[in-house]
Amino acid sequence: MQGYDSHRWVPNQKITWPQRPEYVELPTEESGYHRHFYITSQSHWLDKFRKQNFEPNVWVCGKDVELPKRSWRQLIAQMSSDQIDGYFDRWIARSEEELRSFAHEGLVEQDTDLLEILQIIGVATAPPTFFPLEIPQRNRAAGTVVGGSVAEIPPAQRIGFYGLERSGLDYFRWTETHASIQMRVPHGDYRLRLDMKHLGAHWAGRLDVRLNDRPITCRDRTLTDELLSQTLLKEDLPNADEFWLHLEFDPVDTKTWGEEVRQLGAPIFAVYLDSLSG
Amino acid sequence: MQAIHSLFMMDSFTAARLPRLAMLTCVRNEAKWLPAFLEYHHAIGVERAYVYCDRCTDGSEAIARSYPWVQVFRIDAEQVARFSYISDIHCACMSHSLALARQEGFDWLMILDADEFACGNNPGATALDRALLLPMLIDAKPETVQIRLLTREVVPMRVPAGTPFWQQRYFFSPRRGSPGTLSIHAMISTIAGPIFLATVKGSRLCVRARTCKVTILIAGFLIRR
Repeated sequence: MQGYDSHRWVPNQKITWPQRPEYVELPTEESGYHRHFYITSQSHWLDKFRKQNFEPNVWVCGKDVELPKRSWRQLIAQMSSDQIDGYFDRWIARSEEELRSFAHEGLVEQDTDLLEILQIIGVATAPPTFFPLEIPQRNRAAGTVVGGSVAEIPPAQRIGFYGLERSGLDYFRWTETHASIQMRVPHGDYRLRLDMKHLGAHWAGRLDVRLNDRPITCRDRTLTDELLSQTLLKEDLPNADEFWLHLEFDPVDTKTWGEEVRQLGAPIFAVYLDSLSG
Repeated sequence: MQAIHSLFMMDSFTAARLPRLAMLTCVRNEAKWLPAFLEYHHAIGVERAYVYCDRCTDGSEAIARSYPWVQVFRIDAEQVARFSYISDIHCACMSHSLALARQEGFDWLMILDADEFACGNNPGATALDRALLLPMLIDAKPETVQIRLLTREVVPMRVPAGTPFWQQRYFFSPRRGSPGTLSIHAMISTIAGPIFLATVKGSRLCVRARTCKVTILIAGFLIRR
């Protein structure tokens, strides 16, 4: 088998570039889908056709590149920013009201599965939620526990975390040596717990905690049942209810890990905050 | 988290017969897309991604490298200059990744752009259950060499600047059994007036990696790790 073009494979014909193989269909079945976000915004449209502008106006097969594509490349290359400002809204996109009516007529489908999955894995947020570390003032009581999987912390509320990984049945993220999570809790005493599960053995043994820019005294630090925890007292907390929890770790020794090139701080599966005072 | 757990449950009980899936993508400055693209596909069953960074200057390469299950390859301007067509570069990357996938024992290899999000067609209560790719691959006929994933093409909605792409939620749905290339000119011109989207290839393919012989298309084409 060998590639035929960006989209298709053909049986191996031992043809090498600059020659091209014949197109021969492989035994194929149809199943599943892919959602293609061809153009989603003015900036996306500009980026896409600027990048494509160097390509010829004739495809490899000899056919002309289709007109909207070709004309959009020229448009973006030749017109000023002012002239093309708002092009997407005016000529490409439709209002949600129109699209809803098209969906009602069966011309298009409303499909939110991708959005739901991106929310589940913490890539997309579903406003107005603030996850995971929020305690509404009215519900605060001793014993209240908030928090959860790092998979659910949206990008805007975390800094210094590498991509999502899986270990056994659980998701986790490695932190860099400095990592931060945004929190929203009222004044009070709390127990901070970082769940590192079995990977906690890799933790280099140092954790410095700051809230906003204020260093926090290490109180009642324990590492038990794969949970690294310590107490945060109300005098440690900033005046504002919303602030950043900064974590600083020593780098994990990864010299014997083969291809690992990242500087790793700690493997975090979940973050919890237990309210100690009502 | 319920949906994620259902994925794990499936993994743990059927691991012995689950096929292994890799994917490849060629990107040029796609930093805005890559985190969602990679994390989404990992969540629905992609075990390995081969990401070819074509002259990226926007941090795409660093983003891709932050995932340990992703292998990143850099394509520089000198290499690109040898080709007239981007599809020739893609072909070289396809053959290269097919060889890698075979070496690593993957059963299937899927090619996607960074603005494309594959999904299965499973019955399921949650979006994640419906999207999982491995059940679809388990069900493939033995004689099937490739699976065509039909395109659900976005119909763009007016949104405020800075709105993430995932807020777009209206799509054209293709019909099963349609030709490999689906022209959507007529459909869009019907509803959107005189301006319409470009013709879009009607499918993406997921090919069997294990049963194929590989031709490296371009002798001496250097893809650097």
